[in-house]
Formats: sequence, C-alpha cells, structure tokens
Amino acid sequence: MRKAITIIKDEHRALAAVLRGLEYLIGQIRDGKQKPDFALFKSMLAYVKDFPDKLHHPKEDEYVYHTLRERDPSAAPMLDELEDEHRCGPEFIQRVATALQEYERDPSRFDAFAKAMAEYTQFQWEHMRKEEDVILPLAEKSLLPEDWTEIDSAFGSNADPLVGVGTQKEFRDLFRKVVNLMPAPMGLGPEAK
Amino acid sequence: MAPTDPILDARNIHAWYGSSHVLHGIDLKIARGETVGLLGRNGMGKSTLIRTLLGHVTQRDGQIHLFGHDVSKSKPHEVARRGVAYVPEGRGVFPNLTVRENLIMAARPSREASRGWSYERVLETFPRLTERLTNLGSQLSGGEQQMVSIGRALMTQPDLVILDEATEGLAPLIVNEIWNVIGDIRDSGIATLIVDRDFRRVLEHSDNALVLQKGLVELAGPASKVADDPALSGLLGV
Repeated sequence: MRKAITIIKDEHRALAAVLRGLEYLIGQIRDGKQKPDFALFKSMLAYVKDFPDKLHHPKEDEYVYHTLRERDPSAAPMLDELEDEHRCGPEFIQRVATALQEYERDPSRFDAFAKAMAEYTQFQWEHMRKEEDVILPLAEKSLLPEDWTEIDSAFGSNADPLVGVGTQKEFRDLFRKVVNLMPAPMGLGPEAK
Repeated sequence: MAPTDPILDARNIHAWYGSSHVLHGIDLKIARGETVGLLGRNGMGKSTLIRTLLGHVTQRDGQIHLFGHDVSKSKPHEVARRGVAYVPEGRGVFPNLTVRENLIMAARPSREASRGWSYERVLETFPRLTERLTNLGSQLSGGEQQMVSIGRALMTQPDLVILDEATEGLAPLIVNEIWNVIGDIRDSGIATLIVDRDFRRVLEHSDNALVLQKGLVELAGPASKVADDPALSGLLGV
C-alpha cells in the first residue's frame, strides 16, 4: 500500500477512535452511568474540529485529490463533493461545540447536544467511507508511479508536508490527553463512578 | 559484526511441544531499526516462534544469532541480556508490585543517554502512569497494564522489542495510542517484531512481513508486497 494512503487511513483511524469515544461518553451519560466531563468533551471536540481541518484534509486536497483530478476526470463529481464536505466540516462541528456550551449551561439541553453530535458523527463516517471505499482505491488505480513517488515522498518525511512537525506534535499531544482523560475501559482515565 | 548485518538471524528453526512438531524450519532476519510483521491465523506458530527465539521453548533446533552471538541454546534471561525485550500477550504485569516497581525492576542504563528510554521518558510517554505509580499491578485497567508492560520493556534499553498482541482487548482510543507509541519506538531506532490481529495495520507499519501456515513460512517479503499478494486473505482466513 502507498505510504500516503497508509497515513491517510491511520489518520482516519485516529479520528474514528475519538468519534467512537464521543459516542460512548454520550451513551454513558444518557444511561446515567457517568456525569459529563466538559473538559474532556472540549478536548475531543477540539481534536475532531482542528485535526481534519489543519492537518488531514489539506494533505488529501493538495496532494491526492489534486493529482487524481488530473489523472481521472471522471472522479471530479465525487472529489467536488468531498472537498465541499471538507469546507463545511468546521461549520458543522461548530454547531456541535455551540450545543455543548448550551448543555454545559443548561443540563436539559443534553438531548440537543447528543443529536448534534450524532449528526456530525454520521456525516464523518459517511465522508470517510466514501474516501476509503471509492476515492483511495481509484487513486491507487489511476495515479502514475511518478505521482506516487512525489506524494509518498512528501508524506513520508517525519515532518508533515504542509504544516510541519510542531502542528503534528500538537495533535499527538491532544490525542494523548484525550486518551488519558477518557474513563476506562475506553481510555486510561479513572473509571466512572 | 558489520553495521548492515541483521541483529537477529534465525535459520531453519524447528520447535516441538512434546511429540508435536510445531515449527518446520523457519528463517527470520531482522535488521537494526527494522520493523517486521509476523502474521498467521491462530495456532499457526507465531507465538511458538517468538517463544523459541526468546529461549522459552526447550525442544528446539536451528541456529539463532543475536548481534552475531549464537543464542541457539541460550536461556531466556541470556537472550534478554543481549538486548531483546518482550511485551507478552496478556501483558505480564506483576500484580503484587506497584507501577513504579514494575517499571524499574528491569531498568538498565542507556548506552546513549539522549536516545535511551529513561524512567522519566517512559512516564512522559505514558502520563497516566505518573498518577498510578503507587498502585499495584492488579489495580490497573487493561490499558494501564499494557502501558506498564511496554514501558518496562523500553526501560531495558532494548535493540529489539517483540510485541505479541499488544492491542488485544483494548478500546480504539488506547489501540490508536499504542500504535502511536510503536511508531515512537521505531523512530527511536529500535527494531520491532510485531504480532497483532489487525493485519492491515501490522503491514502498514512494517518494513517486512512473514505469514506462517502450519509452522511454515508461506509468504514473506516487503510488507507492501505481502499486503498486495492475492494469497494473503486465504492464509489469514479473511
């Protein structure tokens, strides 16, 4: 498998793990098994908002999608759709963040927050599914060896090709913080009582 | 030993449990800093191969060289002293020792202070353990135990770490963090031999891979080629 595709799928897994964690936390609160930890929610939302926007999507757009447009014009409608989704993602997650603020002020707003989160999560699953089931296999088929040499070289260095080591470390630290705050057994934090 | 020589060179490895002949002549080489994925369905010989390399299987045959030294007949502690650390399936954390004791019991000084895995560096990598230093191993969650197990392995300052099902039974967030740490281990120049059920991830993170079937190597080579081999799904039953 190409290095760039490995990295994209790895980043999808990190994002998916945080989304699963959010679903779990909301389920625990709904079932009365856990009290809300707003600091944890905010860290997780910061991750799902900023990680795709600042680190993940730019790499997809600038390298893989851009080259796929040139090599296979029939992919354009799907790429347009995915790039639109990249653009509207931050606004979507901002609605979730607003719903979380309202829930923090007024516990009766839990259902509204849970609904906003569920809609966002569904949107992200669908988005990643389209990328992994359609676009990445198409890219593997359509891009030329020299395209992959260039893309893999850009992706393969330790420094992210677009944002640099600092931003990568920032997200790694944020992910680690989420893992350490999330109650066991989903994370390494103290079990909910 | 030349810098390009493999740090582990195992040739024609056979192993038996009683009258049962489990491994039938396996070759495995691992270069300095290399990551090798070991794949195969349950019962095909992966854990036996690891246990044989580590000296735990007494009925064995073949040649095993570590850093140029013949360890074919060595005991487990002699293999460990040659720079091989093992993160076992089931974690192997001592339940009656504290986290701190579990970590420092196997600690060795690093030959290169800047690259070594000190106690402080391990706690920095697994910050949750800082809060659990005085807790007993038995009081830890599964994820915390796995962090202790990996941390303890790293504090032996190994040149080769063998990870056997390090993510088994853990939640996605923890699994992802463990793969991040495996990346850190690799980046610090330590060679790794990885067994994990998530074969896709193993192949994505490995330089080379081998697939076992009934104690024989059925597929081997660069991980990207193994991943694309049409025989892989049949060998793994997926």
